[in-house]
This record gives sequence, C-alpha cells and structure tokens, in this order.
Amino acid sequence: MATGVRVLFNDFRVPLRSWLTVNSAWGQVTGRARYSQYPPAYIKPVYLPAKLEELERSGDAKQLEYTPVRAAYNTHTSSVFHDPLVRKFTNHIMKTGNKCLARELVEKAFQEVKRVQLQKRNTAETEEEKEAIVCDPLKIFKQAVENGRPVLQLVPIKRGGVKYQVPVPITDHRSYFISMRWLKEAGREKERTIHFPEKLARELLAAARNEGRVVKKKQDLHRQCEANRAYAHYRWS
Amino acid sequence: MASVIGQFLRRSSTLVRISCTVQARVASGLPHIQQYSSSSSSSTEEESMTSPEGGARMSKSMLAYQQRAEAHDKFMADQIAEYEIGRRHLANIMGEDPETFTQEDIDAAIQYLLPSGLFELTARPAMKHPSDVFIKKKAAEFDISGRPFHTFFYTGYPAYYQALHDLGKTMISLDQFANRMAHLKVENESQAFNCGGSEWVSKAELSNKFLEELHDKHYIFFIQSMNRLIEHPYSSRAQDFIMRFRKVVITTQNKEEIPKLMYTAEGIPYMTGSGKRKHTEATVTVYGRGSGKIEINGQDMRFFKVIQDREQVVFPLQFTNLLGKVDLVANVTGAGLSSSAGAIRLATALALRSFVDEHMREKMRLAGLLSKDFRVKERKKPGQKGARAKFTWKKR
Repeated sequence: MATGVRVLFNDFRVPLRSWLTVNSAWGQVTGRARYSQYPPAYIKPVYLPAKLEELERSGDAKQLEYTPVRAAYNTHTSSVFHDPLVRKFTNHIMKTGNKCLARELVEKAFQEVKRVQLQKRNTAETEEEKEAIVCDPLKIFKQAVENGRPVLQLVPIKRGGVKYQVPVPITDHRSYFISMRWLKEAGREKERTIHFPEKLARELLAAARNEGRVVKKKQDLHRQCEANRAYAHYRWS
Repeated sequence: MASVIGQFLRRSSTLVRISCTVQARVASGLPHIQQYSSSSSSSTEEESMTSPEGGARMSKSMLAYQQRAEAHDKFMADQIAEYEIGRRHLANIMGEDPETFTQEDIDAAIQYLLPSGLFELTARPAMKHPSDVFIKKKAAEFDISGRPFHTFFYTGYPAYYQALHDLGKTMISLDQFANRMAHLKVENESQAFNCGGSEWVSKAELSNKFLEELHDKHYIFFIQSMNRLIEHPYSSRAQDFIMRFRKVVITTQNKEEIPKLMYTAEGIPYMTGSGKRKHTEATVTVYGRGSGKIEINGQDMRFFKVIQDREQVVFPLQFTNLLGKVDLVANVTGAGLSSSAGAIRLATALALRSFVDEHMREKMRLAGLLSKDFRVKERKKPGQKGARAKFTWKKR
C-alpha cells in the first residue's frame, strides 16, 4: 500500500517489453531487463576493480549513490584469476546446470594449451622465437575468440514467397556468442577417442593463429555474405 | 426554500467551473448557469431550455452533462463530509486529538480495531479519503455553449499535450540560459539534473495524473522527450518541472548505521554478520588482527569441494584487501552448498563493513556484496508443467 515497504512480487510478473529501455542520463545501466526478479530501479553490480575505478574517475559513481544494486552472482569475484569472457564461455559450455564439469573442462583445456606452448618454447632455438611464443592460455583464448568473430550474419528474409539469405550487420554481443559457439562445436566434433578439453585446446591454438575450423567457418560465412550481397537491400524493403 | 436550493446549486456549479484545469470563463457563463440551475431543479422533462434573456439554447445533452457534473460534486461533498465525521469519531474512539488525526493514524486505528489476515491487501478493511477511493473524473471541459476551456481540448489529450508544450518551453528557456552563459563566458560545473534516487512515473501513474487514457506511444514519446531535457547541461534549473513526473524511489533515511567493532577479552576486535541465501542461513564472526584462517562449521575450506564456492567465501576479503589479515569463523545451516557459500559471502561482507572506511563500503555496495540475493525457486503453477514451462500443446 502506501508504506515504504516494496511488495516485490507485484512489479515484474508482467513481461516487460524490451524496446522500452527507460534510462537515466547515466546510460544503459538502469535499462529494464526482461523477466528479471529485481525491480527495474536495481542496477547490475560492478565487481571488477578496474571497472569500479573507471566509474569513480568518470564521476558516475556519485550519481549511483542512492540507486539500489543487485546482488553479485556466485560467479563474480574480484580475483585476478577471474575473467568475464571465460565466465561467459564456461556458462556456454555448461549442460543442464553442471557448472563444476564445465569449469573443469575449460581449465583442462587451458592447461593443455599451456602445456603445448611450453613444449614449443622449450624446443625453440633462438631467444626471439622463445619470446614470440605466447604461453598465457587466457591471451590465446581471447585471441581465438577475436579471430573467430564474424562481421556479418545471414538472416532468412521472405520476399515473394522465397526465403533469401540476406547479409546483415551483427551486434558485438552476438558476434562473441557465435565465435564461442563455434569453438564449442569444434571441440565436440567427431573424434571419439580425444576428449573435449584436448580438442578445444587444439582449436584455441589454431584459431589464435588464424587457422582451423572456427576461422574457416567465419571465412565461409563472409564468403557467403559477399555472394549474397545482391539481396542486401531486402533488409529494408 | 427555492432560493436556498437555488443558491446551493449555484454554488455547486461554480465549484464545477473552478475545478477546471484552465482558468474558467466566469463572467460570460455565470448568469446563464444561475438561471439554468434554478430552472432545472423545477422542470427536467422539457426537451430544451431557453434562457429568459433569449440567449443560446441548451441542448438536452448539455443539460445532462451539467446535471451529472453537479450530481458528482454533490456526491463527493457528501462523501467527504461523512469521511470527516467518521475520522473524528475514530479519533475519539482511539482517544486521540481529532484535529491532528492523519490518514496514517486512521490506517493504524483500523488495523487495530479490525485486524485482518487476508492476503489480498485491497480486501482488508480500510477507510480512505473519498478522493482516493472514487475514480477521479475530469471537471467540466467545456462551458454551456459547448466551447472547450483548454486550447488543446480537440487533441483528445489536453493535459498530456500541455505537459509536452511546457517541456518544449522549458527546453527553449534552458537553451537561452546556456547561450547567455556561453556569451558571458561563464564556465559552470555541469548543472545537469541528478537522476539518482528517483525514477519515471509509470504509464498508469501518468495516465492518472493527467486523467487521460494514454497509449504506449504517448508514454514512450513523453519519456524520451523528458530524457532529452535531463541531458541538458542546465537541467537542474528545471528540477520542479521534472520532479512532477518522477517518483522518489528511495526514502531519505537510507544510510543505515554501521555497528561499531566489538572487542574480546584479549582486546581483539571482532564483528558478527548474518546472511541468508535461498533457504540457507549463515552467521559469520570476523576477528581482526588475524592471519587468514577460515573455519566453516568446524572444518576448514575443504567444507566446500567446488572451487567456485571457495572463491565466493574469499571474495569480500579479497575485495577489501583483508585476505590474510582477518580470521573467519562461520556457522551455516540449511541445505545447498552454493547457497551456503552465498550466505557466508553476504554475512562476511556485512561484518567487514565495521572494519573498513566509508569509501570502501560504497565500493562494496556497488559490487553487489552488501545486497541480499532474494531470488528463490519459483513455485510450480497448476495447469503447467513447472514454474514457466507449459504442457505440450496439442493442436487437436
């Protein structure tokens, strides 16, 4: 009623339309999420120390003084070993909520990457070659994801009874998602004797060098987009 | 007698006029109304009324409109009188001063006298002011000749467009002010409106404010326009106008008191915190001048087999740079390892507030460490397979 207590279950059971992002002047942080258990005023937590510092430097932290904040997830940590991209990738690999297994697989894959790279480095002859070999699996992972990101995507658009594959620009979020999905699929391909972490490690190393299945898929997609550029205007008409 | 009734009706019709949103055209209309009200009380069966002065004819619909407006006003006046009498009686019953008996006091009194356990809050007994109970209607929007009072009447949403008009004028004045400041080469700090602690009224609330049924497109456009106003560097000058359409989300007294550190017999500072997550509860005692020992239900960190849970326990300590400097003793009850970790995390963070300064506390709050995660498993509904999943849809 007219008390200060919020009746929490009232606000959000009605599905909120995604186009209505009622922002503060600060930006998208207070944008409405779909089907969130939190009321719209609650902003997402900023747990990475670097991001927090940026908030304070830009003066936006002052604006958020009286804005309520959501609770941090149980995958959020301010540890140096934490990376948001790896977190997203782990979630993507996870099946039926088995986070432990997903995390183990990713960590094993990273270990494998490091093992391979260390072996290369130890067998390398010159100092320059040794330095050129990147041993940090995180760097290789990020490079692999970047190299696998497509720039356009094909969208089926129906015109005159025929469905055309129309090249359409892709958002950043989706491009990361597609790249990670391809990496995961490449890790799940046929060879039964080789387990997922080893396959994934192989794919990560290949993609970081701009070779391998993932990069090939991206290049095929780009080629198809180029081939279908005649249909590009179907996006609007 | 007739003159008394006539006087009353006259007064009620002036009420109708004065309650309009725009300045009423009093001079032209009043003599006619006086005549019509006194004559309407006597004969309502006639089709159309002509003024004794030989003025404009008043159609049946106009007459009905007039009567409805008067009846509504009379009804509201009666209800308000009854409410006031009831309020005073209630104050006497409760032994309070009737003069200073507010709505909150009424609510408390009703809750005391007529306690109800009904889940539906609107079904519980209540005594509200009639203007809160009965649907607000717009006052007469046009005079007896049918001419509307508001310039924007024919848009169908006069109050809405009036607000947009005011918004436009505000923008222009702010731009002029900015130009003047630029011309005088005055460099001010950004005087933009601070949105913290308030949010836009919802579409329903805006409709209630204007007493007009707004569409989604009206609402979206309005909010987008207001957002543009807020982005103006001098928008704090238009604070009053903006706050008409914003509701304060957070009450002023938001800063809770942080409990002071307690000391053991040996002089070691400590603080306890308790946290909940799903159906798990945890109580944590953080001892200062420690070496980073962690104890959970008598065991060490190996209580948690999963690395993620261990990271969660350590998160607040690592965030506040107190990792090897404090000791942790946690007691957790309830099922679920992941929720245990979450409960311990919250309890630790709440206890650590006493060890850190204001700045770090604010950082912890922004990181989501001090917020209780109130997400629980959603219940299954009848007729559905789960909380959201439906049964297989069969076409036939």
